[in-house]
Amino acid sequence: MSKIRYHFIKKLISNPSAVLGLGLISLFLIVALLGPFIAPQDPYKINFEYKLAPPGTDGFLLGTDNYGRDILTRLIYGTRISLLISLSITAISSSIGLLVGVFSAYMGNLVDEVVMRVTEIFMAIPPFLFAMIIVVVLGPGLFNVVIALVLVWWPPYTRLARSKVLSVKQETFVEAGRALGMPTGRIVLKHIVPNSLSPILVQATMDVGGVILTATGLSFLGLGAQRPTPEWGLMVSLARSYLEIAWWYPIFPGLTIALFVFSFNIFGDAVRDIVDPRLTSF
Amino acid sequence: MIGFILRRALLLIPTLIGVTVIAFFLSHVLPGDPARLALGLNAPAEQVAQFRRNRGLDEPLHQQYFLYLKDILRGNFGTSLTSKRPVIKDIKEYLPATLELTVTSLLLAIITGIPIGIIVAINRGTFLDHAMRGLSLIGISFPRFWLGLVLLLVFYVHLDVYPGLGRIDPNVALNHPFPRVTGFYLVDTALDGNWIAFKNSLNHLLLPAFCLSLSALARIVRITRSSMLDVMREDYVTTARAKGLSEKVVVVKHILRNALNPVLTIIGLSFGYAMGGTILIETIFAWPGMGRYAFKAVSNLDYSAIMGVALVGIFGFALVNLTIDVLYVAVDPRIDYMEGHRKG
Repeated sequence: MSKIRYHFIKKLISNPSAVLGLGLISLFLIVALLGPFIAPQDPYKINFEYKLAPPGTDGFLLGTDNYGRDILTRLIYGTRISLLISLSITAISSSIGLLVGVFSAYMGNLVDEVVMRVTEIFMAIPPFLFAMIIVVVLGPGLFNVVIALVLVWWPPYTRLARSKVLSVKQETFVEAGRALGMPTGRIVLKHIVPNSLSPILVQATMDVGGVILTATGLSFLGLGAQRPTPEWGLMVSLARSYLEIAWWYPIFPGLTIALFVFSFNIFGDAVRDIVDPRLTSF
Repeated sequence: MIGFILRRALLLIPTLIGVTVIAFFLSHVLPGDPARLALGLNAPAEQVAQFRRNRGLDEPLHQQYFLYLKDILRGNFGTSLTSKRPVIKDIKEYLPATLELTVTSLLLAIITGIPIGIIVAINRGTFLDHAMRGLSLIGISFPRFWLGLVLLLVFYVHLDVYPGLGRIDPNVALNHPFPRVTGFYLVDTALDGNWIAFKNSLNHLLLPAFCLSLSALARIVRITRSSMLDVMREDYVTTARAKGLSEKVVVVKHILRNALNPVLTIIGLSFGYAMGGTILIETIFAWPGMGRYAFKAVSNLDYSAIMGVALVGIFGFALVNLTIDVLYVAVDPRIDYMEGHRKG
């Protein structure tokens, strides 16, 4: 195992896309961690004398919004929110997927059939519409966005985990474990789960971008973060009215979202190439 | 073939039933009492009771569900609280607008995406290949709602080439009227020979359609390339080349045809994403379609309208997937449609 891990890391650092993605992700992590120390201003501080100041005015590097709040500062604080929600949504939904998928594949028969039909029903609803309806039922807010997106995202992970477990189950080392009299629980934990994990981890990495696009989209519609939270999607939404007079207000939050999504996409892509070279994705 | 389609359509039934069950029970979680919503807070108790009896709201929950299902099967989705019209009427009005937008955007993505995918696959490892990889990754990274705003900023505010929000200029529609036959303005105006209205509605359509098509385009380019590369390694491709067939014949007849299945899957998926994307795009471009209607319905807690939109969305999604499955068989002769999977 450790040898495989060493091999993987070696391949990772020799892959320029992976390094670029990892570098950008680390940058976002550092910005999120150091937020209050590197942000030039208070994210909520209103400066009416600097209303909609263009980039570069008196130390407002990326300009200000309609309340004269520093856009750069708000983007820095927004990094924390975006990282927190995207990572928690992918982590929770992939864990649920793994649990249910392993359970379903192991129980087989009726349980498996029911689980598969349920995932089909969930996946039959167009994802964004589904998420939107759930958020409305639960009430707007970031926490409910997390719940809604977990509900939308768990079924594909379940199906992925299930199909992987079904193929791992046939492997000789599982048969050997059974022949040695290992209890089922131990076989599942020691052999089946670790060997089914990699496609789920790869998929989760690739999904972070899509998750944040959906979450910011919900905020854009007013269903996610609420004022005055410095959330990126909400910032773009509020900037709509100032499109013609203050281009910097919508542009910088949008570019930040794009960079965030891009860093996870390019990293996920590279990881998939390394884990499964046959796929030759690009 | 017909048997295959029927069997697949039958498989949809449990899914649709499941969805209506979820939606129905969700409706009982939604805040608000439908009788009070319809009649107002000051309505006398007797009137409220009457309303409940008429709508079957006093029946047990499972009976209410069957009443609801019966209504749906009759095409009766109830009355929208916001538009005060039957939901089915709203859908009939808004659905063609959304279909026109979605289909145009997907066509744009397909006719540009597949050729680009083929070209980069043939030129694998070159600068062009790497550049396209980067571009396609960037293409799927931009939030669509933001891209819509940027396009408006550039083409409307600064360049002034985009005529304005909506599907058609109101004065063009007024001075050059055309009959609404299909609800697709491009088709309706063309049938009427009304080229002024045609040109105007085309100009309105292109920007939102382009915005909606970008992520589908990126996805189609990526999958076409990787699928082509997979097929290129097959023995029959080497054989075809060895037989001295021209490169064009090899690429089109041997590689492309066998590489199309994953591309079809992605096109189907993109259709689903595009339907979700219309919620954001239609809101930004004030496009009077299902996406904007869905958003309005959701923000007003207009339950009947939400259900109507959801069912149409699910049905559309399912129909696209069925079509893709049928196309698989048409494209790939190795798939047996009675079994639905690859022969040996």
